[in-house]
Amino acid sequence: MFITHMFVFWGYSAFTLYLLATGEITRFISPRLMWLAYFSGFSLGLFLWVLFLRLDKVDDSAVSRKTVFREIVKGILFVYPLILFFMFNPSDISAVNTPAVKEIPLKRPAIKKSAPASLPVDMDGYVRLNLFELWLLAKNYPEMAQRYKIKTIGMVSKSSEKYLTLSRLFMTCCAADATPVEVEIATPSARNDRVGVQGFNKGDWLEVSGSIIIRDYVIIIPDSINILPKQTDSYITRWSERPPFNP
Amino acid sequence: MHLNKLAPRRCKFIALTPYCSAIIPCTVLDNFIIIILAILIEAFPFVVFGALLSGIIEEFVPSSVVTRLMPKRLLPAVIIGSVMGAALPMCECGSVLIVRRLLKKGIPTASAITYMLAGPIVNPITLTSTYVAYSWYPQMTLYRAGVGIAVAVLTGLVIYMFQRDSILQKQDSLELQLVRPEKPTASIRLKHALTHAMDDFIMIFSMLLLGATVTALFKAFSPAEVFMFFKAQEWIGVPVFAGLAFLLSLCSEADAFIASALNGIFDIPSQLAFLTLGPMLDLKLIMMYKKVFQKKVFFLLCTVPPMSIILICLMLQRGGM
Repeated sequence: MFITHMFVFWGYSAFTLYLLATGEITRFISPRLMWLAYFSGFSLGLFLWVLFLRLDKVDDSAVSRKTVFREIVKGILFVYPLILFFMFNPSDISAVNTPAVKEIPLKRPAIKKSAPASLPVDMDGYVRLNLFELWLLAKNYPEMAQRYKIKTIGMVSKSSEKYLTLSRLFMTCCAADATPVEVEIATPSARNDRVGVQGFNKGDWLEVSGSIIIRDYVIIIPDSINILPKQTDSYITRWSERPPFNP
Repeated sequence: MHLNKLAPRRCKFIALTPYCSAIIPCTVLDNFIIIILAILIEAFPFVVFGALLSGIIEEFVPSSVVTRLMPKRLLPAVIIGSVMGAALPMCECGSVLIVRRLLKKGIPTASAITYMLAGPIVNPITLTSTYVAYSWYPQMTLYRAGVGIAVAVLTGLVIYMFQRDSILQKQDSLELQLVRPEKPTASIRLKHALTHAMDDFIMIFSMLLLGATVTALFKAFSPAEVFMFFKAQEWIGVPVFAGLAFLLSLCSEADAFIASALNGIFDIPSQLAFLTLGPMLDLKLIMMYKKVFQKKVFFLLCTVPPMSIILICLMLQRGGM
């Protein structure tokens, strides 16, 4: 019994501490819920303290302080592989199985609250939005969405000669509820100034600037596509529900 | 002292999974590990909080106070149980522990069950998140609370009808018995509360671990086409979305955002079924119920809420909601 407790508390607390110290915790839960992990750490500390107080009173007579330290070493052996695993395995968007938001038709009833007259435009003439905000804008305020040029980033999840699919995962509470949100990047063949969508591979991170067309889903007609260095965090954890989308 | 030897084995299993992924380099396996740990990290503080509250109830709240405060008549007791969640906010993982302790303190069966089922729905955090997620359909918050309370009250009454006396597992008699001095000091009582909390935590944590593993298996290994298949099958939307709530085992504070995001696939009554069943019955809760309640009560908890929720939501669908 005592060994069981030690294993659970030590192994779990060491792993949580590692995630908190390195900031890796945001790969599992939303940053706004970080206090939950601190609360867990504090409580585990309390439990460990109680365990040590009970050390000489437990009915497993074989338990000694030597056993406790042996368990700590065991914990290290089991915890290190997890730590190494998360250091060398960035999360991959392609493995998420819940249906992508792009695939859901834009049937949602419009929000009745009126949108502001304008969106905040950068010096270069683009509105910066994350993919989820772009989807919300297109769904709730389609006329407004098509008036502006936008700039967004995402990872290529599908590619063909004619179009690219750009994805991000949006996370409400934890990675278990992460849902991919997707937009298509395509160029009408009639346009003379068309920007090519070929040559990008699945897994590339791109910054795309352009205008929006809304069909059954959101399509970006690109003015420019730039490759970004590989991003460590594929999650969108902060967004605004309605314009002006400046969290 | 109860013996729980399963927990370390499961911990070892999870800790060994990275070794497996080195042998099978597969993104699905990575996803499986991320989901399982995400569920644990998110649920863990609530289980700890539930365990701490349970320990405090055990040590500092005498049975006489609980029996004096609760109404004697059945209906008022059930109604108080259904709204207690607003005052004692707790998500579904933590409420199982609190209810177990309250039952030992003499709270009426029907009232405890009603609190356990309705609490995660009527707690202020869940209601706020539902309101935010459904800002385009604010009535959903009221529907969710209303259907949640109605089903919780019904289940509480049904369980009361079938089993009025002890509904907890008999093996609880093996629970830790602490040596208690005649006049314990505050520090001794605090130590006892923490000891009870720790034992409760260990008991429920192994079940949470098992539930999280099964949920992660489902999420990581089932194809996305399964979800999309039902897009055109409107008539089975309610049972399917209710089943999805059971399988996904989302926290009641987050599920509204998922249901809202899937609006294009399922209609409003189906989403209501998802939102009300999830906090009452899912893969991780089923493991906890099995551990805490007797067989008959476990069976009723697994059948009455889903059947009544599906029935209510189908009626609302027929009524043109």
